[in-house]
Amino acid sequence: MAVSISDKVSYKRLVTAGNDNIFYEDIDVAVGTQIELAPATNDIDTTDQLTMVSAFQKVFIANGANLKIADFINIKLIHTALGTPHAKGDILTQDTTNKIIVDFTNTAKTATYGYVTAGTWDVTNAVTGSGSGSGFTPTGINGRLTHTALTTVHAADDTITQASTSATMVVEYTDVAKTHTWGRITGGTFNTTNSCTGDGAGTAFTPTATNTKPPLWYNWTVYPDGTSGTMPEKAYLVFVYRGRVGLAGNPEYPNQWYMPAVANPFNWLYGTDDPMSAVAGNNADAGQCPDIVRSTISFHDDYMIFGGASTTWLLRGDPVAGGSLDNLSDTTGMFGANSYCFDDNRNLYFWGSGGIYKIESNFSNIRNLTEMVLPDIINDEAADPSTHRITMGYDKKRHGIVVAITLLADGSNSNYFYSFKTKGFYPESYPDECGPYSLFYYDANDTTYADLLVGCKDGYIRKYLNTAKDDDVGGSDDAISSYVTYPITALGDIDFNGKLNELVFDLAGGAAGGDAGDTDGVSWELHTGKDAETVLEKIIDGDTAFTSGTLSGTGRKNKIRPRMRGAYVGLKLFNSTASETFAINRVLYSVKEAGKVR
Amino acid sequence: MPTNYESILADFEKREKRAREANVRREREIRGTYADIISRREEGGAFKLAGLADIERTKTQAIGAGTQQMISSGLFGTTTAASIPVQAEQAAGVQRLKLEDILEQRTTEAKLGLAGFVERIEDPYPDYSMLMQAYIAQASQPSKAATGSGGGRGGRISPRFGSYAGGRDIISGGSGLPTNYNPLQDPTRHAPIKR
Repeated sequence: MAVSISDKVSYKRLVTAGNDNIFYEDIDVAVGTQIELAPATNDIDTTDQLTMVSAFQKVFIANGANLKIADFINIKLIHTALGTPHAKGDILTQDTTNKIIVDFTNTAKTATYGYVTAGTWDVTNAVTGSGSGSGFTPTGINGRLTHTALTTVHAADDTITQASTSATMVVEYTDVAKTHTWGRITGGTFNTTNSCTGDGAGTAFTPTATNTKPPLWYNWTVYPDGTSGTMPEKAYLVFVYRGRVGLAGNPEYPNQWYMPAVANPFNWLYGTDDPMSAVAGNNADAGQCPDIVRSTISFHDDYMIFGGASTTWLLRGDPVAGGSLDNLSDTTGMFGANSYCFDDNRNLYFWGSGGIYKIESNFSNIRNLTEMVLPDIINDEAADPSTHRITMGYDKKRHGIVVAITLLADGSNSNYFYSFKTKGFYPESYPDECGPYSLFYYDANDTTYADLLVGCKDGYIRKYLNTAKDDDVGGSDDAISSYVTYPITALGDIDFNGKLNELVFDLAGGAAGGDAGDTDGVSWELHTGKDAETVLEKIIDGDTAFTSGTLSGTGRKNKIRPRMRGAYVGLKLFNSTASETFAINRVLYSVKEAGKVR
Repeated sequence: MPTNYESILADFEKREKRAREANVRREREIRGTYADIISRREEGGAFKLAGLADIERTKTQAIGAGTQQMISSGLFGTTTAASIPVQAEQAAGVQRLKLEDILEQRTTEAKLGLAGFVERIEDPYPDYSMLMQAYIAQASQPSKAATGSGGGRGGRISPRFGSYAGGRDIISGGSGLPTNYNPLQDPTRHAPIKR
């Protein structure tokens, strides 16, 4: 017997925010293609802090007073204002066969959002609900028409008509590219065969695609049933924890966090005798003043960490039903909303009050990773939450953490790569256009797009590419300047000089050509001095080297005889040439003792 | 003899009065008992006051225990902790309703008992036929101690007056009265109460 098995895949979409726009990955067009969510354009302010989280097949956005939802699962029925809205969970029926589960009703009660479970909805037949909500006949259903770029867009409230099908749509938005027209379908069914004309000045077109379930965009408010409490007026932090889509970062109450009812982000009625009810709170011992909440970090449904300005708190379980809130640190807070990341082993890394910290997955230890190697990193970077953004991301392909410190005003940045292999920090910086505003590991369905993504200052999304030798800054490429300074080495015994007789470089690539990747050329400099710090200072200040040279090719290079005498030596290797990278296998040297240091 | 009629009547009336007074005393005592039972369960009564005090005590303990638990779990600064008194009050409200219901039931039972007691109070007419028979017997021959089987039995203290609890009318009970029976000399008999 033949067995037919077809894959069922859960589709992921990347949703991004930039330039006051929301973009989403339209997999109906092409994987990896981001298109504008036109209804959201200019409805958010990306010059202000903005955080997003996905839950219930929607994206919840906290952008100050702009509390919004991008909804990818429901349809929107537009109607006259209902006397009584349909409750969340009610079943709406149209023409006996069309069914919807109600999810949300707007404040004005003129739109009902719900998930279609059966049938194709229309604007002709009456709708009744399984609860006490008022019956209605839809006056419109949201839709979107795709077309080639229009010369002149159709203005809002223009009516587009496809004469052959008698389909009509009232225009609401057109995207910047003028290739998608969004509106409410008020009659008929559009096809991709016949022309559409508008009653305004817009260019006629024949749709190349029609969509009767486009993503929706609406205000995140309480359910208008009079029993759903009150939301905070502003918030800059949004998170999901145990089915609650919570908020924090209200500038009027910066120490407060808020969580709505479980599985109901529209119910904010606190204090009911219900384990699922909404809850709000702050992080402090009884009778103490709470700390400001700077970041909200949830790890699955297991626990949640609140990063304060100078404290860190751990919430386990549900705050309404048997949970607990414990202090993790009285002295270490977190920098900001995105200054943290997890690795594959559930360890948490964050930029804290004293450097970069790691919290073990079992909370057995909070360790400052930069304490010994970069003890003054906080002062050196001098990052301020009002002017800088610090984001962190786990790069599972390169086995490390990227820490990006970006000046918001111009994109100038100072970053670190923390390698899990060497346990070392590698400072790096990118062109200003590439200044990271966000880091996000996108686990895409198509592995081609699965990578650590960098949301950059110029609005592009970039990723690290092993095969690229220059940075893509948009219209051109920038050469990468890379260097490594070997540890300052004593040439003799304590307080004795040494003479560096021979130096041998072994460059990566094996023989020229071959299977192993060949290095490009590399330059070298030698500096010497009576003490180690003087040598290092010479390198940092860019002083003239004692001797220098350039190597090319692969494999073991000819011996170099520098004849350099001194107590300490410093070796710097570097390459600033466009489209070049270098790799060294090893450096060999031989030394003779050369008398006491005078 | 004609003069014996007056003594019979006087004796009859004296016994009747004694019996009536005793029964009235019993009635008052029983009414008082019922009134006391009812008052304890009415508004302001001891039973209700004690019940309400117990509910308040339980509510205070619930609030305290819940708040302490919130503090221990670090969630004192949440709306969950703030709602503990509200929830305790809701639970107390339910208990108060139950208390009211119990009191209502008990009061009703007591009142029904009182009503039944009152209902069973009888006001029989004076038994003149008995009086006449006593006179006739007295007038015809010397009296003898009654040995008939129709003597009835002493009644218990009960809401019934004038008749025997479960007893038989002395005139008609048993095998009949001996001809020389003098009811005035029958120690087992309670005379009917005149109201």
